[in-house]
Amino acid sequence: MKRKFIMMLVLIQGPKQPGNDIDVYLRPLIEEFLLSWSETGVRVWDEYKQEHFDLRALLFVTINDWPALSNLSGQTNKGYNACIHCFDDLDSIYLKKCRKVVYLGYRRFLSMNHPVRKKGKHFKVKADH
Amino acid sequence: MLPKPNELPSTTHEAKQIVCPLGLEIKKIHACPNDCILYRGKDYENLDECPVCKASRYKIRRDDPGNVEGEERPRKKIPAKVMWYAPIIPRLKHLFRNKYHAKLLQWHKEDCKLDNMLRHPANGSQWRAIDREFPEFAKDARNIRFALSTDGMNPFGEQSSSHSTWPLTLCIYNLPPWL
Repeated sequence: MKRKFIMMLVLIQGPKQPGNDIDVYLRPLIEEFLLSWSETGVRVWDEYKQEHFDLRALLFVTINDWPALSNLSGQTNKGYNACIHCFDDLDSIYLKKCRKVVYLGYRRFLSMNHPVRKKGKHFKVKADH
Repeated sequence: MLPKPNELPSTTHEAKQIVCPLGLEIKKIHACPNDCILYRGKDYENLDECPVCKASRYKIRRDDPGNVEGEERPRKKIPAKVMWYAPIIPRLKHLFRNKYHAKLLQWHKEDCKLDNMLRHPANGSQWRAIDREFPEFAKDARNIRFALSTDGMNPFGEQSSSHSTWPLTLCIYNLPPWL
Protein backbone atom coordinates (compact mmCIF):
# COMPACT_ATOMS: atom_id res chain seq x y z
CA MET A 1 0.00 0.00 0.00
CA LYS A 2 1.58 3.25 -1.10
CA ARG A 3 1.53 6.37 0.96
CA LYS A 4 -0.76 8.11 -1.49
CA PHE A 5 -3.60 5.73 -0.71
CA ILE A 6 -3.23 5.69 3.04
CA MET A 7 -5.31 8.42 4.58
CA MET A 8 -4.43 9.77 7.96
CA LEU A 9 -7.70 10.97 9.34
CA VAL A 10 -7.26 11.57 13.00
CA LEU A 11 -4.26 12.72 14.96
CA ILE A 12 -4.66 12.84 18.70
CA GLN A 13 -2.03 14.85 20.47
CA GLY A 14 -1.76 15.64 24.10
CA PRO A 15 0.08 15.07 27.31
CA LYS A 16 -1.63 11.76 28.02
CA GLN A 17 -2.62 8.77 25.94
CA PRO A 18 -6.33 8.65 25.15
CA GLY A 19 -6.58 5.10 26.52
CA ASN A 20 -10.10 3.80 26.86
CA ASP A 21 -11.56 7.20 25.94
CA ILE A 22 -10.40 6.87 22.35
CA ASP A 23 -14.06 6.49 21.36
CA VAL A 24 -14.54 10.20 21.99
CA TYR A 25 -12.04 10.94 19.25
CA LEU A 26 -13.48 8.34 16.91
CA ARG A 27 -16.88 10.02 17.06
CA PRO A 28 -16.48 12.33 14.00
CA LEU A 29 -15.14 9.40 12.00
CA ILE A 30 -18.04 7.16 13.04
CA GLU A 31 -20.51 9.85 12.01
CA GLU A 32 -19.07 9.90 8.52
CA PHE A 33 -19.11 6.11 8.34
CA LEU A 34 -22.75 6.07 9.43
CA LEU A 35 -23.51 8.58 6.70
CA SER A 36 -21.85 6.40 4.09
CA TRP A 37 -23.56 3.25 5.39
CA SER A 38 -27.05 4.76 5.44
CA GLU A 39 -29.77 3.83 2.92
CA THR A 40 -28.85 6.47 0.39
CA GLY A 41 -25.08 6.48 0.77
CA VAL A 42 -23.07 9.37 -0.60
CA ARG A 43 -23.60 10.67 -4.12
CA VAL A 44 -20.29 10.48 -5.98
CA TRP A 45 -19.30 11.08 -9.60
CA ASP A 46 -17.41 8.16 -11.14
CA GLU A 47 -15.01 9.40 -13.82
CA TYR A 48 -14.25 5.91 -15.18
CA LYS A 49 -17.84 4.90 -15.90
CA GLN A 50 -19.00 8.51 -16.36
CA GLU A 51 -21.98 8.33 -14.01
CA HIS A 52 -23.21 9.33 -10.59
CA PHE A 53 -23.62 6.56 -8.06
CA ASP A 54 -24.25 6.07 -4.36
CA LEU A 55 -21.02 5.22 -2.63
CA ARG A 56 -21.10 3.15 0.51
CA ALA A 57 -18.23 2.23 2.74
CA LEU A 58 -17.59 -0.09 5.64
CA LEU A 59 -14.81 -0.79 8.04
CA PHE A 60 -13.48 -4.21 7.14
CA VAL A 61 -10.76 -4.82 9.72
CA THR A 62 -8.82 -2.92 12.29
CA ILE A 63 -5.06 -3.28 12.59
CA ASN A 64 -3.59 -2.62 16.00
CA ASP A 65 -1.46 -4.16 18.70
CA TRP A 66 -2.80 -6.08 21.68
CA PRO A 67 -3.08 -3.24 24.25
CA ALA A 68 -4.66 -0.92 21.69
CA LEU A 69 -7.19 -3.63 20.88
CA SER A 70 -8.68 -3.43 24.35
CA ASN A 71 -8.99 0.34 24.00
CA LEU A 72 -10.60 0.16 20.58
CA SER A 73 -13.01 -2.62 21.43
CA GLY A 74 -13.75 -1.28 24.89
CA GLN A 75 -13.30 -4.71 26.46
CA THR A 76 -10.65 -5.98 28.78
CA ASN A 77 -8.09 -8.30 27.26
CA LYS A 78 -6.10 -9.27 30.29
CA GLY A 79 -6.85 -11.23 33.42
CA TYR A 80 -9.62 -13.80 33.59
CA ASN A 81 -11.53 -12.67 30.51
CA ALA A 82 -8.61 -12.15 28.17
CA CYS A 83 -10.25 -13.25 24.94
CA ILE A 84 -12.44 -10.57 23.40
CA HIS A 85 -14.29 -13.15 21.29
CA CYS A 86 -15.09 -15.73 23.97
CA PHE A 87 -16.55 -13.40 26.61
CA ASP A 88 -17.61 -15.60 29.54
CA ASP A 89 -16.99 -18.92 27.81
CA LEU A 90 -13.30 -18.66 28.51
CA ASP A 91 -12.18 -21.18 31.15
CA SER A 92 -9.47 -19.45 33.13
CA ILE A 93 -7.96 -20.19 36.52
CA TYR A 94 -5.37 -18.43 38.61
CA LEU A 95 -2.32 -20.48 39.54
CA LYS A 96 -1.37 -19.30 42.98
CA LYS A 97 2.17 -20.64 43.02
CA CYS A 98 3.03 -19.39 39.53
CA ARG A 99 1.10 -16.14 40.11
CA LYS A 100 -0.49 -16.09 36.71
CA VAL A 101 -3.74 -16.76 34.98
CA VAL A 102 -3.87 -19.70 32.63
CA TYR A 103 -6.56 -20.47 30.10
CA LEU A 104 -7.86 -24.01 29.94
CA GLY A 105 -10.86 -25.60 28.30
CA TYR A 106 -8.97 -26.38 25.12
CA ARG A 107 -10.51 -29.88 25.10
CA ARG A 108 -13.60 -28.40 23.47
CA PHE A 109 -11.70 -28.03 20.21
CA LEU A 110 -11.31 -31.81 19.92
CA SER A 111 -13.85 -33.93 18.11
CA MET A 112 -16.90 -34.92 20.12
CA ASN A 113 -15.94 -38.57 20.57
CA HIS A 114 -12.27 -38.01 21.31
CA PRO A 115 -11.07 -40.09 24.30
CA VAL A 116 -9.42 -37.09 25.97
CA ARG A 117 -12.83 -35.47 26.36
CA LYS A 118 -13.78 -38.16 28.89
CA LYS A 119 -13.14 -37.89 32.59
CA GLY A 120 -9.49 -38.26 33.42
CA LYS A 121 -7.24 -37.81 36.39
CA HIS A 122 -5.27 -35.11 34.55
CA PHE A 123 -8.39 -33.03 34.07
CA LYS A 124 -9.66 -32.87 37.65
CA VAL A 125 -11.82 -35.94 36.89
CA LYS A 126 -14.18 -33.79 34.86
CA ALA A 127 -15.51 -34.40 31.41
CA ASP A 128 -15.61 -31.67 28.81
CA HIS A 129 -18.67 -31.81 26.64
CA MET B 1 17.64 26.41 -7.39
CA LEU B 2 15.89 23.66 -9.30
CA PRO B 3 16.66 22.88 -12.97
CA LYS B 4 14.65 25.03 -15.32
CA PRO B 5 11.57 23.22 -16.59
CA ASN B 6 9.98 22.74 -13.19
CA GLU B 7 6.44 23.45 -12.18
CA LEU B 8 7.00 23.95 -8.51
CA PRO B 9 5.31 27.07 -7.20
CA SER B 10 7.92 29.60 -6.10
CA THR B 11 6.03 31.02 -3.15
CA THR B 12 3.85 29.52 -0.43
CA HIS B 13 1.05 31.82 -1.53
CA GLU B 14 1.04 30.33 -5.02
CA ALA B 15 1.05 26.83 -3.62
CA LYS B 16 -1.88 27.61 -1.35
CA GLN B 17 -3.82 29.06 -4.26
CA ILE B 18 -3.58 25.69 -5.99
CA VAL B 19 -4.27 23.50 -2.97
CA CYS B 20 -6.92 25.43 -1.05
CA PRO B 21 -9.74 25.38 -3.65
CA LEU B 22 -9.59 21.55 -3.63
CA GLY B 23 -11.45 21.60 -0.34
CA LEU B 24 -9.41 18.94 1.43
CA GLU B 25 -9.40 20.83 4.64
CA ILE B 26 -8.16 19.59 7.97
CA LYS B 27 -10.17 20.45 11.04
CA LYS B 28 -8.60 21.13 14.37
CA ILE B 29 -11.04 20.15 17.07
CA HIS B 30 -10.37 21.13 20.64
CA ALA B 31 -10.81 18.40 23.20
CA CYS B 32 -11.15 18.11 26.94
CA PRO B 33 -7.72 17.33 28.44
CA ASN B 34 -9.29 14.41 30.34
CA ASP B 35 -10.85 12.96 27.16
CA CYS B 36 -14.47 13.64 28.17
CA ILE B 37 -15.81 15.53 25.15
CA LEU B 38 -14.83 17.21 21.93
CA TYR B 39 -15.74 20.87 21.57
CA ARG B 40 -17.85 20.39 18.47
CA GLY B 41 -21.50 20.46 17.49
CA LYS B 42 -23.86 23.21 18.50
CA ASP B 43 -23.97 22.23 22.17
CA TYR B 44 -20.29 22.18 22.95
CA GLU B 45 -18.66 24.46 20.41
CA ASN B 46 -18.62 27.64 22.44
CA LEU B 47 -18.07 26.29 25.92
CA ASP B 48 -15.02 27.30 27.91
CA GLU B 49 -14.92 24.35 30.28
CA CYS B 50 -15.79 20.69 30.07
CA PRO B 51 -19.37 20.01 31.28
CA VAL B 52 -18.32 16.61 32.66
CA CYS B 53 -15.10 17.18 34.57
CA LYS B 54 -15.03 21.02 34.73
CA ALA B 55 -11.52 21.16 33.31
CA SER B 56 -10.65 24.30 31.40
CA ARG B 57 -10.62 24.21 27.62
CA TYR B 58 -7.55 26.39 27.46
CA LYS B 59 -4.14 26.21 29.02
CA ILE B 60 -3.63 28.44 32.04
CA ARG B 61 -0.28 30.14 32.00
CA ARG B 62 1.67 30.37 35.22
CA ASP B 63 1.84 34.17 35.11
CA ASP B 64 -1.76 34.54 33.97
CA PRO B 65 -3.23 37.71 35.42
CA GLY B 66 -6.77 36.49 34.75
CA ASN B 67 -9.32 38.66 33.06
CA VAL B 68 -7.90 42.16 33.36
CA GLU B 69 -10.45 44.89 32.76
CA GLY B 70 -9.70 47.36 30.00
CA GLU B 71 -7.23 45.23 28.06
CA GLU B 72 -7.16 46.40 24.43
CA ARG B 73 -7.40 42.97 22.86
CA PRO B 74 -8.02 39.62 24.49
CA ARG B 75 -5.02 37.36 24.90
CA LYS B 76 -4.64 34.50 22.49
CA LYS B 77 -5.79 31.37 24.26
CA ILE B 78 -3.96 28.07 23.82
CA PRO B 79 -6.19 25.00 23.80
CA ALA B 80 -5.28 22.25 26.25
CA LYS B 81 -5.70 19.37 23.84
CA VAL B 82 -6.22 19.40 20.10
CA MET B 83 -7.35 16.67 17.80
CA TRP B 84 -6.74 16.89 14.06
CA TYR B 85 -9.46 15.55 11.87
CA ALA B 86 -9.57 15.20 8.10
CA PRO B 87 -13.02 14.30 6.73
CA ILE B 88 -13.02 11.19 4.53
CA ILE B 89 -15.98 11.77 2.26
CA PRO B 90 -14.41 14.65 0.28
CA ARG B 91 -11.29 12.54 -0.04
CA LEU B 92 -13.24 9.64 -1.50
CA LYS B 93 -14.98 11.98 -3.92
CA HIS B 94 -11.61 13.17 -5.15
CA LEU B 95 -10.42 9.58 -5.54
CA PHE B 96 -13.32 8.79 -7.85
CA ARG B 97 -12.72 11.95 -9.87
CA ASN B 98 -9.53 10.41 -11.22
CA LYS B 99 -10.26 7.97 -14.03
CA TYR B 100 -7.30 5.75 -13.28
CA HIS B 101 -8.02 5.51 -9.58
CA ALA B 102 -11.72 4.95 -10.10
CA LYS B 103 -10.88 1.93 -12.24
CA LEU B 104 -8.44 0.56 -9.68
CA LEU B 105 -11.06 0.81 -6.93
CA GLN B 106 -13.00 -1.92 -8.71
CA TRP B 107 -9.97 -4.12 -9.11
CA HIS B 108 -10.97 -6.54 -6.36
CA LYS B 109 -13.98 -7.68 -8.36
CA GLU B 110 -12.90 -7.18 -11.95
CA ASP B 111 -9.32 -8.31 -12.19
CA CYS B 112 -8.51 -10.20 -9.02
CA LYS B 113 -7.75 -13.85 -9.74
CA LEU B 114 -9.86 -16.45 -7.99
CA ASP B 115 -7.99 -19.74 -7.87
CA ASN B 116 -8.07 -20.77 -4.19
CA MET B 117 -4.84 -18.95 -3.47
CA LEU B 118 -4.61 -16.17 -0.95
CA ARG B 119 -3.15 -13.15 -2.65
CA HIS B 120 -5.30 -10.33 -1.37
CA PRO B 121 -7.87 -9.88 1.40
CA ALA B 122 -10.49 -10.19 -1.35
CA ASN B 123 -9.67 -13.91 -1.56
CA GLY B 124 -10.34 -14.39 2.13
CA SER B 125 -13.36 -16.02 3.67
CA GLN B 126 -14.22 -12.96 5.76
CA TRP B 127 -14.54 -10.91 2.59
CA ARG B 128 -17.00 -13.41 1.14
CA ALA B 129 -18.86 -13.57 4.44
CA ILE B 130 -19.50 -9.83 4.19
CA ASP B 131 -20.61 -10.27 0.58
CA ARG B 132 -23.18 -12.84 1.73
CA GLU B 133 -24.30 -10.75 4.68
CA PHE B 134 -24.83 -7.53 2.72
CA PRO B 135 -25.72 -8.43 -0.87
CA GLU B 136 -26.73 -4.83 -1.58
CA PHE B 137 -23.26 -3.70 -0.61
CA ALA B 138 -21.50 -6.42 -2.58
CA LYS B 139 -23.45 -5.68 -5.76
CA ASP B 140 -21.49 -2.56 -6.57
CA ALA B 141 -17.75 -3.16 -6.76
CA ARG B 142 -17.09 0.51 -6.11
CA ASN B 143 -18.24 0.28 -2.51
CA ILE B 144 -15.21 0.66 -0.35
CA ARG B 145 -13.84 -1.51 2.44
CA PHE B 146 -11.48 0.15 4.85
CA ALA B 147 -8.92 -1.01 7.33
CA LEU B 148 -8.42 1.18 10.34
CA SER B 149 -5.08 1.08 12.07
CA THR B 150 -3.93 2.93 15.13
CA ASP B 151 -1.19 2.92 17.69
CA GLY B 152 0.63 5.32 19.94
CA MET B 153 3.88 6.57 18.45
CA ASN B 154 6.61 9.01 19.27
CA PRO B 155 7.47 11.37 16.41
CA PHE B 156 10.66 12.62 18.00
CA GLY B 157 12.46 9.31 18.31
CA GLU B 158 13.12 9.26 22.01
CA GLN B 159 11.21 7.17 24.49
CA SER B 160 9.83 10.13 26.35
CA SER B 161 6.54 9.72 28.13
CA SER B 162 5.69 13.40 28.46
CA HIS B 163 3.78 13.53 25.20
CA SER B 164 1.58 11.15 23.31
CA THR B 165 0.61 11.01 19.65
CA TRP B 166 -1.97 8.63 18.29
CA PRO B 167 -2.40 8.69 14.53
CA LEU B 168 -5.33 6.86 13.01
CA THR B 169 -5.03 5.79 9.40
CA LEU B 170 -7.39 4.20 6.94
CA CYS B 171 -6.29 2.17 3.96
CA ILE B 172 -8.55 0.94 1.19
CA TYR B 173 -8.69 -2.78 0.54
CA ASN B 174 -10.31 -2.44 -2.88
CA LEU B 175 -7.01 -1.47 -4.40
CA PRO B 176 -4.62 -3.98 -5.93
CA PRO B 177 -1.61 -5.03 -3.86
CA TRP B 178 0.93 -3.18 -6.00
CA LEU B 179 -0.48 0.17 -4.96
